[in-house]
Amino acid sequence: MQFRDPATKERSFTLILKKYQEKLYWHIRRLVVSHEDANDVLQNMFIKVWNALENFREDSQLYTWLYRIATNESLTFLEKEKKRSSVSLSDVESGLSNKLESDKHFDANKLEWKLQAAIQKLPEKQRVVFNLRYYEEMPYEKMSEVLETSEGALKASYHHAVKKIEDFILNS
Amino acid sequence: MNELQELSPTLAAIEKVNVFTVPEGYFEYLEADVLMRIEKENGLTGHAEKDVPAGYFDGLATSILAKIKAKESEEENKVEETGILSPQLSAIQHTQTFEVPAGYFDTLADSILARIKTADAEDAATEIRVLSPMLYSIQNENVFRIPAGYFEGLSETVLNKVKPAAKVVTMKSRTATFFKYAVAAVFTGVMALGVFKFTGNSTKNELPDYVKIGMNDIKDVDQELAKISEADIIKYLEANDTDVKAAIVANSVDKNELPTEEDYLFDEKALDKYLNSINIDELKN
Repeated sequence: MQFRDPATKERSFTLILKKYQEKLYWHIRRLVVSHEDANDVLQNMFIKVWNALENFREDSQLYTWLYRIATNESLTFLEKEKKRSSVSLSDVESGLSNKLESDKHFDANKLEWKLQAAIQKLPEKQRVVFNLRYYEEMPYEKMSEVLETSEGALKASYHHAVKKIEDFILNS
Repeated sequence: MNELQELSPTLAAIEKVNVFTVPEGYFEYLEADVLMRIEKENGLTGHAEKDVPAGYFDGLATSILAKIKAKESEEENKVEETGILSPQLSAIQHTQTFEVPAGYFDTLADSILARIKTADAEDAATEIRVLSPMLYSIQNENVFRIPAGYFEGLSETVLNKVKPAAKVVTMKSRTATFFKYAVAAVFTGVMALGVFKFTGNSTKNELPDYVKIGMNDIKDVDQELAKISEADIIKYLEANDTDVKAAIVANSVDKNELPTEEDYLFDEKALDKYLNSINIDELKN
């Protein structure tokens, strides 16, 4: 009800924004890499939240709803980047790798940077699964609601991703 | 007999009689008994001799070989059948179209074992520690940087985008400064008028000392006003019939946002609408 009442909507929205902004920002940032892009996606995401807030069914969880919007906005952004560049997916992944390497703090010898490079090699959806589980420590049950995929498939995807990343790091 | 007679007449004279005896029916069941023992010793289930056809075991090896050859022939016939029905399908019958990631089967066993080990690990930290101690060790390392103060300003940035028409006018320092001088002007104006009226003089040099001291004190009004809250300033101005709304509009709003002359021509309530949109009442409360 507080989302539908204009008198309380703004206050509620601000509370939601302040509570989740950092978590959602980092989730988006790890997918799109650059701060500028993450900022754009995050703000667009919250504008959509504002517009959809009145219709939000309060029986479903706000947490998973927000993550779903953030994930979809990030993937849509990456899709647009792909179309804008008119290049193959592998080149888009190279583009993200380039963005990573252009970071002034990038150090190819450091394990944590190698990890980010390895993550960028994963297919988009698998990247999302890995980030949500590894960084957010999101339970598979919640992830299933966010990504609308079975828990078993998510678990298999995550385990496979861990193996691929480990192999990449050890062989790089 | 002649030979035995010549050798021993005594032995030749003995009647040939069998003194040994055998159990009754011994020879009648001897063959069946022997076969049964053979079957037992070879691990075969006991079947009565009468259940096994005659010559069964003699032809058994030949029969089995024949069946094996028939089965092989049947498989070949199937291939031949496919080839007859569709040479194209026969040509690609054993061609695999689905691809499997490189090394998939090499790592499959390890993956399954890992999943078994982590099956009971409900939390992500335990899971990654089992799956990859290396990744577990760097889980909290963050390589990405953000501009200073980014999150502090984010909510206002987003709110300005979602509600541009309902921008709340905040009492910024320059507005507060205006109010201070508005009050100071009212105050000094009253004081000056009062002084001149009282003394009847217009030149400072002729003013009594106590007035000169008072006028020096007026320079400190600004400092004193800084201590007064903005809400109190508004209340004071209202009490002195000062147009608070006009003051706010004049000092805190971008002139480009004000209604244009044409707006006033077409809508006599243009100003009221604009003032309502910037929530003056909310500011006063």
